[in-house]
Amino acid sequence: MGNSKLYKGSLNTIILKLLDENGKMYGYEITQRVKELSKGDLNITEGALYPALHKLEAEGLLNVEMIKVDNRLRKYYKLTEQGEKETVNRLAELEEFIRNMQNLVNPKWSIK
Amino acid sequence: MKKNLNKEELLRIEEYLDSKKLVQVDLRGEVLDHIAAGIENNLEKGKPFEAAFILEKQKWSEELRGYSSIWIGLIWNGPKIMMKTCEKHIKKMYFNVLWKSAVGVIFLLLITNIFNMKNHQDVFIRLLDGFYFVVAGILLLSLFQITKTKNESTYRYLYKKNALAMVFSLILFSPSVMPSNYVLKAISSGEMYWYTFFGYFMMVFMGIEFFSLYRKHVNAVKLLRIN
Repeated sequence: MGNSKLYKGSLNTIILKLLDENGKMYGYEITQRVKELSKGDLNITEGALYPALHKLEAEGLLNVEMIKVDNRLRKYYKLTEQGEKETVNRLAELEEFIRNMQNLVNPKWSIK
Repeated sequence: MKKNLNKEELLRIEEYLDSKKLVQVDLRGEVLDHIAAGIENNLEKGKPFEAAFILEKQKWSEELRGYSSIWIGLIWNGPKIMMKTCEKHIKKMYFNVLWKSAVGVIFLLLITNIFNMKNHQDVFIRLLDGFYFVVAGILLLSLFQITKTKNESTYRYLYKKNALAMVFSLILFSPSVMPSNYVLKAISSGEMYWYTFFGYFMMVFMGIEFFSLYRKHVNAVKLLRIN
């Protein structure tokens, strides 16, 4: 992950969310989609992306499919049934984390 | 308009990956496709192939540089992305071996206590001894099979680097070839030497984990063939 260590812990959730929205994707496509959605702010490096994808695959959250595209083989990733359930859980966790961080960073003080 | 790379341009990428020694099928195809897609993206923006290729090589320079890992053996060197993947496989193997051996020992302690079999530890030792030779035989056969396959994978790389040493260790440290003092003491005194059994279990489970590398290699190659 290029820009900040803060994003590192959320990489797997970002990948799961993208696959949930797009069905199946390949490595380069994921990096480009993240770049596009973050308007260039977030750059997933190759060294972070592929280990994360392989880990999710090993955990049984992703399935792979090899398809011949433009004279070469392309590895597509898609969510398994378990992966779909896990995406919901991890997104809920991430949202809760963001809420807590917002409360910590920007607390609403009140006098009772 | 989308610009696809021609066969010669793809061959240039193949040659680049060859020079970096990234030959493992479970990684190479994916890296090749990533580099090719990156170049095509730049071609669409009007960059010439050479300039786009240099940009991609710069991006991949860190992941494809030579790297050695203490987990695999410092004498071996390969592209970082491959060695890191092998490192993950081997760490997972060690973790599996540790917890399975712990469960094995606990199970053995329970059995010997429940059925009052402390004076019959030699039975378990002979049983494990048999396993040592069965696992060593399977590993040797798999090594022969894996060496015959044309494709390299991260699993095959690890297997080839370590399996033969594993076979020798299994035979050398088997209770019948090298009975340790602990084993002899355990048998004669009737006292339970759980750490000796832990060591035995570790060896057997490590052998089994190595065999699973062989199966994973076969699956990785099969994945390429199906499509």
